[in-house]
Amino acid sequence: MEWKKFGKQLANHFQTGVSYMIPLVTAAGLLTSIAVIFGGQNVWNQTSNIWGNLRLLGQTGLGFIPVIIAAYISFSIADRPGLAPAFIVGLVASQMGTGFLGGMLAGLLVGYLVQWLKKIPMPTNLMSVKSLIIIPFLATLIVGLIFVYIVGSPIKTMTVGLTAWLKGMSGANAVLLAALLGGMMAVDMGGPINKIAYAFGMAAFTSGGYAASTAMLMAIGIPPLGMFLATLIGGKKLYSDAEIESGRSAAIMGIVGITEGTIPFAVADPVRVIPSIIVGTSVGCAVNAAFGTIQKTALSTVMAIPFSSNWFLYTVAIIIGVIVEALLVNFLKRFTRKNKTVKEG
Amino acid sequence: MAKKIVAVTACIAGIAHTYMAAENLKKYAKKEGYDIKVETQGAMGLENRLSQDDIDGADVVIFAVDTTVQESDRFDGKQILKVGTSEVVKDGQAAIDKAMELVK
Repeated sequence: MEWKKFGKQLANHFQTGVSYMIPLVTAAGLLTSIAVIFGGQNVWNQTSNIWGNLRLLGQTGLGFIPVIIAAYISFSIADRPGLAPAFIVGLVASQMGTGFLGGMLAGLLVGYLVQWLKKIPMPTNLMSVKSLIIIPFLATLIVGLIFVYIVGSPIKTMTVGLTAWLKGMSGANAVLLAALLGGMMAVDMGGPINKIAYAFGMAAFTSGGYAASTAMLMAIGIPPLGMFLATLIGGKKLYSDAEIESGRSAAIMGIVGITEGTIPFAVADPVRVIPSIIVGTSVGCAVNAAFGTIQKTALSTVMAIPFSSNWFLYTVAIIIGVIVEALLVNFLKRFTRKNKTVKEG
Repeated sequence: MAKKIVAVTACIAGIAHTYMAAENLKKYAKKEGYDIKVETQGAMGLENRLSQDDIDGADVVIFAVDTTVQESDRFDGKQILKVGTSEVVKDGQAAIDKAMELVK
C-alpha cells in the first residue's frame, strides 16, 4: 500500500475516534468543571453532596476517554467486529494507566488485527463461527496480552513522563507550546488540525496539564471574536453586508466557543483571513502563557474567564489576541487587495 | 436524463463542515443540472439517510468526509470520489466536476 494513502487513512481513523470522543469530553468536562467551581477542591474525595456527585459523574466520563478512543478507532478500521474487543482492551489499557496514547494504540492494534482476521478465507459453513466466536475471542486475547505483557508499561512510562513534562512546563517552553496550540486551533477552524490540538489539550487536561489545556481552550473563541471586531472596525468599506451579518453571529459563536463561526470569512478570503486568525490566536495564547494564567475547567475562551487563576490578565490576553487578529486582517484587506470595492455576494 | 449524484458528508465535530459541505454540493450540482441527494453524518447521527435505491440509481458517489463513512458497505461497487470536507466547502464546483470526470 502506498504510504501516503495509508497515512491519510490513519488520520481518518483517528479523526473518527475523536469525533465520537467529543460529546463525551464535553459532558464529562463540563460536569467536572461545575463540580470544582461550586464545590471547591474537596469534591475530589467525597460524594456526600451534589457537587461531589457531579464530580463523580464527570470524572467517570473523563476516565472513559481512552476506552472510547480505542473502541471507535477500531470501529473505523474494522467496522462492527472491531468494537467489542477494543472496548475490552481499551478499558484494560486505561486501567493500566496508559492514558490517551494507550487508547489510541489499543484501537489501532485491535482494528488492524480484526480487519486482517476478517480477510482470512473460511468455508462458508464456518463463517458464522468466525464472526461470532473466532474474531472477538482472538482479537481480545492477542491484543489484550500484548498490552498486559509487552507494550503496557512502556506506554505508561511515556504517559507519566509526558504528563510530568506538561505539568512542569513554564517560561519560554510554555509560551511556545501555547502559541503552537493556538495556531493549530485556528488554522482550519474546527477541522482535522484543530482537533489534533484539541485532543492533545484534553489529554493534558485529564492528567492535570492545565497550561496546555488553558491555551487550547482559550484558542477556541479567539478566531470568531477577532473577525467580529474586524467587521466592526472595517465596516462597509472592507466587508459586505452579508459578512457584517456573519460577524454578529461570529461574536455569539466566539462567546459560546464554536471556532467554526469564522468559516464564512475564511471561505470568502482565505489568503488574508487564515494567516490573521493564526497570528491573532497564537499571540493571545502566548501572551496568556507568558502571564502564567491557567484555568482548571473545560470551558472555552470567554466562559472560562471567571474561573481563571487571574481573570484580569486572562481577559487581557484574550483581548490582545482578538485585537491583533482584527487589525491584521483589516490591514491585509485594505492594503493588499487590488479591487478595493466590496463585492456583494 | 439528468445525471444522479449521491453524497455523504461527515466532519470531526459534526456541527459545521458537514452541513456546509452538503449545502455546497447541492448548490453546485443544481447549477449544473444534476440530481443530487446528500446524507449528512454529523453530531446528530445519520440524517437524510440515502436509501439503497438512491445509491443503486446514482451515477456517481461523492464522499466529502474527514472521518470514516458509516455503513460504507451500502456503496460497494459504486464509483466513489473521496475528498475532505474543507475542499468542498472552499470549492464545491471542483468536487462536482471531479466526480463527473470519473463517470464520463
